[in-house]
Amino acid sequence: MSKMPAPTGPRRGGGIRKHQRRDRDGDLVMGATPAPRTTPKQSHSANLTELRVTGWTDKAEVQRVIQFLERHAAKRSSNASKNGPSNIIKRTRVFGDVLHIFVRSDDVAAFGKINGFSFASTHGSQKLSISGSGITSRDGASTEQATSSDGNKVEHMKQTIEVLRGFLSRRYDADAKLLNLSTITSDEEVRKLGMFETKSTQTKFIPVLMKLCDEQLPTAEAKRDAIHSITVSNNDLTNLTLVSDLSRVLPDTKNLDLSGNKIENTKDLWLWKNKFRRLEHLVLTNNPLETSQPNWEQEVIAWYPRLRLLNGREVRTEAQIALLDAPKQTPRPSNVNIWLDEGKVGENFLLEFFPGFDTDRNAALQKFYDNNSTFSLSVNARARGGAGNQHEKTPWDSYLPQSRNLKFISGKRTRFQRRSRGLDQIQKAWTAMPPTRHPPLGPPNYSMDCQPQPGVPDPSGQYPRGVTGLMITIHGEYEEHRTAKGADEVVRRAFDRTFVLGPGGPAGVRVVSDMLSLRAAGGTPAWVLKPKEEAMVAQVRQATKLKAEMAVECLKAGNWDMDAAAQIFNAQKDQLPPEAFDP
Amino acid sequence: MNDESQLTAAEKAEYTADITACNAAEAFTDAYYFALQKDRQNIPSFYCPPLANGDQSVPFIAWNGEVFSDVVALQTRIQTLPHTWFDVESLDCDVLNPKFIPASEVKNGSGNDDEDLHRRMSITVAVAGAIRMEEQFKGPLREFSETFVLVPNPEKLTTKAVHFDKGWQKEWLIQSQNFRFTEWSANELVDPAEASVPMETDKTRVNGGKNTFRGTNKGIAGQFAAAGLLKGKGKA
Repeated sequence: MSKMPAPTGPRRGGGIRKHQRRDRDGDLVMGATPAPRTTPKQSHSANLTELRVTGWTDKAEVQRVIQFLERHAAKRSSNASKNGPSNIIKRTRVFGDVLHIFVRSDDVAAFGKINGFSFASTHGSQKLSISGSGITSRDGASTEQATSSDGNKVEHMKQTIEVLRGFLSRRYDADAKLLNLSTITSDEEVRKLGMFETKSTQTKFIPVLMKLCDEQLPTAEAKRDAIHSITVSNNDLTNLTLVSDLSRVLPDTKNLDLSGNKIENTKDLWLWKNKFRRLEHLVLTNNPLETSQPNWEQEVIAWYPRLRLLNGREVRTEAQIALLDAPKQTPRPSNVNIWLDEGKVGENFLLEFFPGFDTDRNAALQKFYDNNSTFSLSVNARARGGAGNQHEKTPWDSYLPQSRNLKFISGKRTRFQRRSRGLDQIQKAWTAMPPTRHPPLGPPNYSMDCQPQPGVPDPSGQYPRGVTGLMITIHGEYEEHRTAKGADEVVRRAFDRTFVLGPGGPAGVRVVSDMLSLRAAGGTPAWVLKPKEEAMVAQVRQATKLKAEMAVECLKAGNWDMDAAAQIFNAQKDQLPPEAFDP
Repeated sequence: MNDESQLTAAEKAEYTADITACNAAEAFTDAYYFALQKDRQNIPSFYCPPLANGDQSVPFIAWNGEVFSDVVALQTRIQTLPHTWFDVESLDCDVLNPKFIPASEVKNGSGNDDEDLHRRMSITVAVAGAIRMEEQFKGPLREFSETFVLVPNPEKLTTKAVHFDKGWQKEWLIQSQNFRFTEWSANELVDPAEASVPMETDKTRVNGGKNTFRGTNKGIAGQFAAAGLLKGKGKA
């Protein structure tokens, strides 16, 4: 391992002093009282200051220029050794006729002192001027701004910005809160500038404009208040690359006009997809899109949740949009049974059917089914919702071989075979089911709905388009006498069953379709109100004389809050029909 | 029934109709529950339009004990729901009326009254499943049951065969619907205030008088009892 000499400092002088003072560069510090270092050493280039040196002409002499600067600046710097060689210029770079040097910020003053020194070039004496932050020119002005060689550019930029600022103020309509960027090329000043004509400057137009906009309206609120609408119509835009910045700077715009452009596809609008979250009105008329892409509207409507008008046509109502801000409500238990059953056809059917099914299935079958009736059963063995671990975990035994749960049974033939059609097949299926006992009809044992079902086949053939029957959906539990696998016990099963009833058969009503879905028993709280809720219903009924269903409806509308329900009742009580109240 | 070639023409038509109905039920439920979860704006497109003569009887929509007079009203209701996540656990379907649409209305069809049933039929779809409300993982998990009757979409009667390779293209539309919650989530069953009454004092004593946390450390006997195994039920 060779001993590395200190990079810049003089060699140690053979043990003259045991404790030599060195500064952190490794230079010996001469003199009795070295100046205390006030700032820590800044070695990272990020802490260096860039200075620009001009006035030299020959690139071959750059090294000499650097040495010249170093030599003179070091004499004036507190950091560098006054005698030995120093490297207070940390990095250098040459661009054109400008030499960039990077020095520590506490050395900048030293360079300021040698600004304007003459360098003895082979081409004669050359006055070097140094500029950068912290250096004042000989006439006292700060040199931080760009030097004269950039003067034209700066002048041009300033002029452009002035034009754009003028454009912005001409095109902003404070009364309408409208930023009108339509037909940008028609603006005399902008055309003179030629900025919207070449591709390279076109792309900068809107960003610069938005920068100016940012300056004048610094906060999001200011922008939201000042600009409600933007028009970018008639600019021959084929896509949104030129104007995409608008959505970033003015995201709260409510009205947007893109008409009279050359947009052909919704893909060309993707830059603004899901932007402008408060957009209410969008105009895309006079674009090829309207004819070249059918159903383009649907896609665009989906991008903007609050869009109410598209090309002047209402696509959402105010009420629909207001819903977005409405508080979300988790549904409560509902003990209301929808029972649209004139003539009690459905009720009488159920009253007779379930006892029949429990005692003599074949008789029930012969009475209510015919050779076009269908029955199928599906076992929901992995019901995960509900009371979960409180479910009775009884095996599914003889149900499984005929379960037609399409989530599990994927073979076409199996699916088809497990559907029973006609008396024979249904009888076979029912015989395979264990004996059952359904509890008496009515709440709280069941949740039942009965609703009209149009288009049920007419066995008489009189109405080829079908007749209106009934659809009954019933949810509840039954008891089963389980004897499978040597067991002898009574277990509970939960079921959902759908009957579609139509005219015909010996009873005058026949089952067209019967679908049974089974699940582990887990209780009935979905349609049984908790005691607390029952008490609220009683309280509302006492105060309002409403019927029980209406009281429940009223409480539901108020999301089971007594005060809210009272307000709703007071607001609507005059419109309620007399049937809503207790006689 | 072991070989399709042995089927009579009527049986074949019935078979094709049933298999098409099964495929439709699967494609439909996938699309519909996706719309309820992520695309509620799109709900109305699943329903058949009201009849021309101003008859408001279809579509008939019953949703947890409420009847909705039109699709927009239902959509409004659905949009006030919090985050929902549906998991279909059981699915079944049935050909309700194989001749819902006259044979003459099927384009490229045979026109024969006993054919093209799989394009003309109305379908009953019975769904049961779990529904997670409010929060994606922690929200209450309930059970639901829903029945639909689907009728052919007159605008989609152009092809003889129906495939669902590209998902649900609304070949059928909802004519009637009934939705119900069938089970309440366990954590909704008991009010926190009511639950503070220590119900499990007996069990802790069974556990050798040890001071155990309720529910979390029941001991083997408790866990077996909860699983229904002590009563001689369940899998051994």
